[in-house]
Amino acid sequence: MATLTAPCPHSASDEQLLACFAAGHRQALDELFRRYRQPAYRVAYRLLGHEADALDAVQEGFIKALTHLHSFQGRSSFKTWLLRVVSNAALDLGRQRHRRDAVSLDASPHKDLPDARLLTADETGRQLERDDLRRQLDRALDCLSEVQRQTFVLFADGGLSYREIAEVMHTSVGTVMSRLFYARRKLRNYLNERGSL
Amino acid sequence: MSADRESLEAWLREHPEARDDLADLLRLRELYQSACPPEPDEAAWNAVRLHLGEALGRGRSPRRWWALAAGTAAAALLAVLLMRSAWSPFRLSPPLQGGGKAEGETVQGVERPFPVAEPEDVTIVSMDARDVAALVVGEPPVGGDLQFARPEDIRVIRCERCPHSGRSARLEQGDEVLMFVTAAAIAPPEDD
Repeated sequence: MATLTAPCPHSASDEQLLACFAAGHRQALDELFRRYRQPAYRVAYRLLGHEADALDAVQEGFIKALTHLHSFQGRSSFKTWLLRVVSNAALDLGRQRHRRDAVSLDASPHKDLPDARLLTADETGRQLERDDLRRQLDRALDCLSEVQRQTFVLFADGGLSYREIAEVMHTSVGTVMSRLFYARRKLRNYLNERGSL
Repeated sequence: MSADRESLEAWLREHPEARDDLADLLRLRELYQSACPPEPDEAAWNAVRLHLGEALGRGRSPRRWWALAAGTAAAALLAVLLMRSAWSPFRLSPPLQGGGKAEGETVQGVERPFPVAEPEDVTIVSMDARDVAALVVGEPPVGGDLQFARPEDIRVIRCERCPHSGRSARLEQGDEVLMFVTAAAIAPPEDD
């Protein structure tokens, strides 16, 4: 049983960290956040297409995942549980904002570029190509239905297996495979039509 | 080999035509992973982490029975005082010296200037960090007629996440002008 005075090592399992967190260890929250902020952010970003919105969804997701731990009950991994809550939060946020084409403050096309003075011409060119490709891939996701998009994003960016996705979405593995099949076909058609591949 | 993988392999043996689809799906996944979204900077992560600690700390603070009892007692006392003042409106006011009317007093005798503390009357000894956002300090901001800015008067250079709520605003095109929109509350997770 974890106590307030016992340290929570970085090598602790998720279950140990959750026990430490329940016992009031601030350090456990730090470690859980460090471990899963990136996959949570990537899933949220793909579903929302906007950095600030994605961070909001990650924040809400962590809060809800950790305050509703009684619903989690260890039936799946914490990562699976977290990505379920984060992706639902992102979809809720997206519905509220209707994925409007916002005049976003950070929508400058190359906002995420490193300082151009530090890059060579080749590096800058490659970075621009990667950014263009990413935007094409993000737009392609818009042609999917909501459940197809959530399924594919959990698969590609969340790194979840078919079974884990089925747990997240409360459906069967067969349904997950079917959704991925149709999602792949739509994405491939979209990207081929635009010569993105 | 896991049971899931075994069953998938078995299914693929029965449906060989699906192998190409599966290979294509894996290529698509690699493509998406190679073009991952730009990462937020460390300051943005720190703001999220800070808000997480505050939000989860609030939810996890133990409820103290004495705090509940004190709150109940205070509410009961306030209710009694309000009822007394409603039935006898003059009882709470101090008696007037010399029988004259105080400044601002009406015929009914209840409208007296409300005493307002001057800045030098107040010393903040300590306060909860969570209440800092609600603290207003300084002179009243409005001294005359309000002058509204026009859209062309404003140029947005940068917009940062709120360090207290962790939320951010975004600029969107309204029907006629640009406007700031902040994140609305997100509904609780579905239990499906």
